[in-house]
Amino acid sequence: MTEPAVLPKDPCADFASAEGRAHFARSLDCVHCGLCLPVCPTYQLTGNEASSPRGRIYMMRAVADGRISAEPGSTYDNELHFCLVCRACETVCPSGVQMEALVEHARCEMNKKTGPPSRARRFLLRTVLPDRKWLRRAADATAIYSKTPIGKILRKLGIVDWLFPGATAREALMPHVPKREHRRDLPALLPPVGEKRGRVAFQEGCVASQLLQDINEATVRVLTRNGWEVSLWKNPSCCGALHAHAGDLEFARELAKKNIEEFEKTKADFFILNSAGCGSHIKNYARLLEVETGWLHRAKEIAAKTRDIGEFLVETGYKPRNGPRALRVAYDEPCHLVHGQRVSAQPKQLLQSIPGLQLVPLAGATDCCGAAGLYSLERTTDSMAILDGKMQQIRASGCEVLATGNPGCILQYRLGARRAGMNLQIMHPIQLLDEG
Amino acid sequence: MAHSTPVPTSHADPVVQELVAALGENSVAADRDTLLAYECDGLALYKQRPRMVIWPNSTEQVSAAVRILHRFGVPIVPRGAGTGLSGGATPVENGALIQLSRMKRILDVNPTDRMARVEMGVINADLSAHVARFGLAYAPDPSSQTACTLGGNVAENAGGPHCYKYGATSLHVLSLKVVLSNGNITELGSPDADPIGYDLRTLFIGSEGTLGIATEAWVRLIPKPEIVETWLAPFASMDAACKAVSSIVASGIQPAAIEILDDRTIAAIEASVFAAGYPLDAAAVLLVEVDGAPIEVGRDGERIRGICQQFGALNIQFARDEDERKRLWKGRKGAFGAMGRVAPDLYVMDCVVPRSKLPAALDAIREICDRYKVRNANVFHAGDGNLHPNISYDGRDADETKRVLAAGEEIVKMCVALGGTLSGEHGIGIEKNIYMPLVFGAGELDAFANLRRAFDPDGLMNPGKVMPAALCGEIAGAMKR
Repeated sequence: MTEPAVLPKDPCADFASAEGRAHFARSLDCVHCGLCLPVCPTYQLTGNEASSPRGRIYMMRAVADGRISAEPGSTYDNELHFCLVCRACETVCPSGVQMEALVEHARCEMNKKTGPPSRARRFLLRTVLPDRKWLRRAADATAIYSKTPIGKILRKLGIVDWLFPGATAREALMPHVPKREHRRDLPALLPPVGEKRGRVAFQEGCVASQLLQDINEATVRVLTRNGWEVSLWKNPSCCGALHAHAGDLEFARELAKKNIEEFEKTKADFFILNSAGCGSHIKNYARLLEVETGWLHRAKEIAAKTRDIGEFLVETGYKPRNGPRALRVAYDEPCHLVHGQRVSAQPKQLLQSIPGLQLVPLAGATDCCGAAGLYSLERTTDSMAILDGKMQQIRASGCEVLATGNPGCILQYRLGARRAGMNLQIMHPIQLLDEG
Repeated sequence: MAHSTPVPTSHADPVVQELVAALGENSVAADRDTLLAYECDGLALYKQRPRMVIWPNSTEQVSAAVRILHRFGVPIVPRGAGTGLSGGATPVENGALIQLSRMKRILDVNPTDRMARVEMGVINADLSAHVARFGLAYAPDPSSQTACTLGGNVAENAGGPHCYKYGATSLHVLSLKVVLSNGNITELGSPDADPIGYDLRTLFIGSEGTLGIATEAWVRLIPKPEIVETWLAPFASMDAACKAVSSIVASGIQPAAIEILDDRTIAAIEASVFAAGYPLDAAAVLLVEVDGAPIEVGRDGERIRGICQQFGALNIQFARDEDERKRLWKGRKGAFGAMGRVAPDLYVMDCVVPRSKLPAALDAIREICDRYKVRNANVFHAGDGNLHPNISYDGRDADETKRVLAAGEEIVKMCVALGGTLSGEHGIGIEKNIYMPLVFGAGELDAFANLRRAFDPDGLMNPGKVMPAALCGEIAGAMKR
């Protein structure tokens, strides 16, 4: 792997600038072999080289070499955002190209040229996601909007689209918001059941804290049942993965630092995530902070202690589930678990340890579902094209429950099941293991 | 194809306008960035932006596009996945690229007669995966098989490690549906019997897109062997490894594959995601595979191991199960990509020498590369004497690039001088067309040119490829060195 010699302070330095070339050096590993093409979900859709990892890297190199300029609205710009950053290409790349790092940087560079983000985008990323108070308000507002006549009035007046351009057209994507009593914050410290094995930190996550708190509850129940004391913090409520993917590396760095500080305060032995996207991003904190004086070793330390819940339970040992679950379950591997963290066997091992559970094979299990953070909101047509293909494979597997370990994917598959008219339960593997 | 990606297209070009009208907005692109992404295939040494890129989704669409291009006199270059290594899919100046990536349907599988009808955009490995449930497989297995298309395989008459036993693509294609240079659709060969009269099917396979565009084929499927055994034999010298290969072949055993990897390739693989546990202290490793009935495999395997030991093989590794077998092969198949760790660019060469000349050729390759101060590693199909010298370089360094090309030329000439030939399986493309006179006389080249004119009187099909430019009256501008 070509590691840049000196990295610039500016995370968005032009590829073509002297500073940016250090970031760009990462692309030089690509030898144009093309082995990444067939695993790329966007190349599968279009068959277009420019929509493939190799094609995108080729365009990045051309930008760096000054052969083309990175223009907003160009195919290069479009392709940068068409990419799901699913990292399937990284798994098959024999040269070890770090596609995620390249795309994040290229988006950052493009953002500077495109100008300030829309009101809605900035508000969502910088105000709502990192703050539990705002997340709760947003969830309340969504619930009121979708369940009372107020929504209809706002829609008619055009206020919704003024605030969030194009939002009404995407109402079908709106997730179900649980009642308030089902999205209460977890306590700051949860005692272990029985003898204490150690302390772990856990983050409830931004979207999950409001929409999938039942999964968080199941996660801490399993952790405490296995002798782990669980320590949590409220804010920042987000790891910063969505920001980094959107090219807002500056704010992603701020969030990373705050999370490192909070984690250090817990004095925990491990940092446990039940969200593949968050775990993958936190394990990459060192890459994000490598140029920030005094932060690199702290970032490396948190990364070394970070585990996905499935990875952690298999590594440290866990009490098997007692009660049987006679279910046909298919396991879909979240991109940021299988490709991002190379964690694949452990969640399946957890599922197989559940009495009565039948794990059925799923074709395309390591392919992206199209959720990809904000992607499903911003590129809905592409996202749905990918999702609909996945739903056919899921239907063919004959499963009753689809298990997957990432909030974005869980919400996406619930939407996919609605669209396909399937009677399918979507669960996190930890919910199947949990007996609470 | 339903996707929301807007492909901004230059409608100023009247040819593009007609293509869009015939095939639809989503099937043609002519914008700056898309054209840039297509300026080279797996051989990145040569670059040329096409005039437009076309993605047909049926034989009829290919035909419609070719008719329009033919009428406007626009040269046509077909492309599969763009993994080829001789520049077969390098665009030509002012020419169109027709990429068959959307034609990826497996149309019919006939397990009784052991054959399948496929579109040419189907990925090689996908076909084997699809027919595995019938206990069948598609035999040719180029190293890029997880990405390359059957259409590209047909164009290049692609091989692969197992073609040592099973033969290259031409032995596995029963019939082809092709679009000729005027847009006419025709069938070559027949799935039911060997061709009567001129065997145009075999002529077409390996013609590198110069005789037309194949869109569909009936291909032969082989029964998966009962058992497969794979060994990795490390040697202290390349010479000993090559002698072991000669001795295995001379003994009359027919292994499924015999591959050699040198120390520098091993080092690159072991540092990559394809790390296969190859010994880092060996000068060369021999990867041998035997397949067939258990009795036969057991007997041949024992003899092969004996021969390897006789030539000083150190610690022979045996793949005990399918996972270990896959691991041993993973390193070999990922070897080229793994070389990406050595330098930004890689030139994967392909030439052939008589098996007995392998040690001499390898010594010469190292000498030539050292003299030109370029970094070389070797991995090759030893059973066929098919060498793949890899030269790592940085394409942004003009001087180094020039030295790479000069070293490449000497290597080709050296192989021919040793009694070998220009290519084992990558094809001629634009990489080696100028060397054709090294192996063919004026009379043969003239016959080739006449044959080509019979299929393509206007010289529009992949001009400048295969034949030296002067001979086909077409300078593609691709040979700018």
